[in-house]
Amino acid sequence: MPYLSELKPGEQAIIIADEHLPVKAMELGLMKGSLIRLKKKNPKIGMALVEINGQSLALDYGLASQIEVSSNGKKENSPDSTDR
Amino acid sequence: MEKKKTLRIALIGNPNVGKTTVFNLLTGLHQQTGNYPGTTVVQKKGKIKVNGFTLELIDLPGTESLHPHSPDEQVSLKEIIRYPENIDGIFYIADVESLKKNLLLLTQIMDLGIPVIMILNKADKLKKKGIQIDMEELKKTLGIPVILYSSVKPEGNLIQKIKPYLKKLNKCKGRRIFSEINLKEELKKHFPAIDDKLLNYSLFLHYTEQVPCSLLEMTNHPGKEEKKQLLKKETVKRYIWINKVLKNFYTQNLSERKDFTGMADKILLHPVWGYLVFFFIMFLMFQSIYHLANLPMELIDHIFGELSNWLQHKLPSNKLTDLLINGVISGVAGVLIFVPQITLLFLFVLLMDKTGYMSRVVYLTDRWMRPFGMSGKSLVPLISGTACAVPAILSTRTIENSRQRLITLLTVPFTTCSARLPVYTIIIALVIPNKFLFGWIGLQGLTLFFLYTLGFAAALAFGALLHRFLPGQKTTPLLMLMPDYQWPSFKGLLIEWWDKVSAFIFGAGKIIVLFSIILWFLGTHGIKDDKILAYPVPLEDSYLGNFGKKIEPVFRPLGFDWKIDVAVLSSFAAREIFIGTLSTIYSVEDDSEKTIIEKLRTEIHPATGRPVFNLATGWAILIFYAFALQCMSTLAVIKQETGSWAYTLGIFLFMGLLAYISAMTVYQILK
Ligand SMILES: Nc1nc2c(ncn2[C@@H]2O[C@H](COP(=O)(O)OP(=O)(O)OP(=O)(O)O)[C@@H](O)[C@H]2O)c(=O)[nH]1
Repeated sequence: MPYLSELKPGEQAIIIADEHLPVKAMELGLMKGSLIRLKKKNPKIGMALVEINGQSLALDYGLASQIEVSSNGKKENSPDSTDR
Repeated sequence: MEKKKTLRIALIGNPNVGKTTVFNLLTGLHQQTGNYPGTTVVQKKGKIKVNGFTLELIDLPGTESLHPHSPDEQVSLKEIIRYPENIDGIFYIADVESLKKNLLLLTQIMDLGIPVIMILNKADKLKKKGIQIDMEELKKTLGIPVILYSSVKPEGNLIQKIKPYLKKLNKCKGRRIFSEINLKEELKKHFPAIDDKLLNYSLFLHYTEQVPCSLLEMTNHPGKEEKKQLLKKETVKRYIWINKVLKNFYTQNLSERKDFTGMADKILLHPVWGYLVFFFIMFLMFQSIYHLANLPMELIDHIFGELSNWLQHKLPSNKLTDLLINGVISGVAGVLIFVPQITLLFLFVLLMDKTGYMSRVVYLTDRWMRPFGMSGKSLVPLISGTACAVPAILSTRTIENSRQRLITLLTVPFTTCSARLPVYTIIIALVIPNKFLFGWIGLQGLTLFFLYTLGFAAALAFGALLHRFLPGQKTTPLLMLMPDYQWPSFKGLLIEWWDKVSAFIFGAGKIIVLFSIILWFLGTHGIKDDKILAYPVPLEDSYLGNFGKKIEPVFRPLGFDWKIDVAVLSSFAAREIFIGTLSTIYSVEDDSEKTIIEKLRTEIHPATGRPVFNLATGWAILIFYAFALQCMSTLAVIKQETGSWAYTLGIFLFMGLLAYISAMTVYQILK
């Protein structure tokens, strides 16, 4: 399974594991089952920009490389789900 | 509660949803609001009268949930959990765009059984973002009143919309999902012996957040890992519920939204262009502070010169006239002359904040701040420190990592605050030629830019030093919401700008004028051989003169004469007093019609025969003020935020010593 940082900008995926994530990340919507879109990645700056729940979220690139996502990204308009 | 006449209402919500904007709208009190998430770091209060009720409103810092991650977020928890009796109800501010996330905190609040009225803000964005909300369904699902509103483009009076619910506030308690989402079961695992009725969300919060309560006497609080797992479970359970109900009232057609922000970010977050734009903005800011403000400053200086001259001719020549002209008027002029520059500085900082650009600066700089023991979030206090160190130090409360926060707040005093600006302006005008490099880069503006850069560089170097020696967890990965770019409303900008400028004029101004009067007295009165000398006493023999001469040897290696010494010492409480003091000293001594700059420029050192304000002394003064921590309020706020005298005195002595040694070195090289 790829990691969030391995997606190409514009690609969407579903988060499939959230064990490594801090509580704050989950409160912001980063959790297993969430649909996430990578908007921008800047490994040189050490940052990534993602879209979650219609909002932009900047996150540390190191953190983005720990978030496992599904390889088959959904289309833009698919509804978000946090099903377990 | 229905009969209660005063209702204490807390404004709560996630960061950046518009709480402060709504608070300003309701109370008319002019508070600071910002587009960088987490601007409200201290509580603000205001009172309004509605239909025979007095509403006491408290604007609390934004928080994602009732489990705080940073010191500012603790304020909301403390207010709600420790003193629930202090709050009669909550105005919950949410943002149409991030409604899903906003519901997390709302469900927590509703689980506590506190009456809530929800103000669903930023309604003006609905169309732009392709969002549709079924309001009736939303109200039905939550069981509380919901008011859809836009606080920047208001339609109708918000108070009128809230009014009908105040009488029955106690009934606005909303749906409790604590049992519905099996959080109760989770809590039961930790309290198997406790009666089911007592297992509620309040107990859950007391337990996880280590807030003492009688029920918890029989059990330990969870360990760090156990707490983390419990909070994660809670978050997931709440989001599952939110996802389930959200579909019933919220739809967003992403293809309809306009993404100006995404396009702008292509440049502003670019690894090369992004930094170039940032440095260009900074450069532009300091050049314009210097050059745009020049004309109005000269005008103010000229007007006060003319006024003093006119009064001198019209009023009888006596002590009172002297006090008025050389004590009061010179003091007032000393304040007003800097208003043009401070105006420009505040406008730039406000614009960066309000347009959403400040968050981009955090994004660009996080990585580069780490070697200095800080994070991208530290840059906001460091930049706002250019206005004033006191709010800047308070704004470090948004930094989650306590070590990064401590380093940031101890480095903020190195950044060039607006109080240093008057000193820099006058000294630069005196010793740096008004010439242009390549025809457009002003030398004086460049010097100012250098001094600001020096402040930042010193802050970073000091940060690196602390990073090496301080114990504690070194970093916390950055996680930050990025607001859309937006053009702030002109009125809002004006209100906030006036808040800050008036704080300078009436806050610092009062002290400067008072000091000016005291200095006039000390500079025109004196005592010799136990006899009080007749007024007016020559400056040399005045109290001020005698004191200055006594301490002259200490500052001689820096090239300061006794008049500069007096000005330096009197500015211990606040730096901006330095120029006011010089202005008063020279007005006392020389009551010709010359402006303050002319008076300083023509001052000759009796020992050397050279101008007192030459290149070497000028630079020594500039460097001294770049480093010395001469501000009582900053010291007080450092003590308050660190709770440590060791850090407070340590930073004061360190910066003082650094200022003295650097200024001496510069003087000795240039003289
Ligand atoms: N479009 C739009 N923008 C708004 C509205 N209300 C507030 N804003 C903007 O949202 C940003 C944040 O507003 P604040 O009032 O500082 O938000 P806050 O919730 O107090 O922020 P924190 O102090 O960070 O918790 C500012 O740029 C406001 O101009 C609104 O109704 N519509």
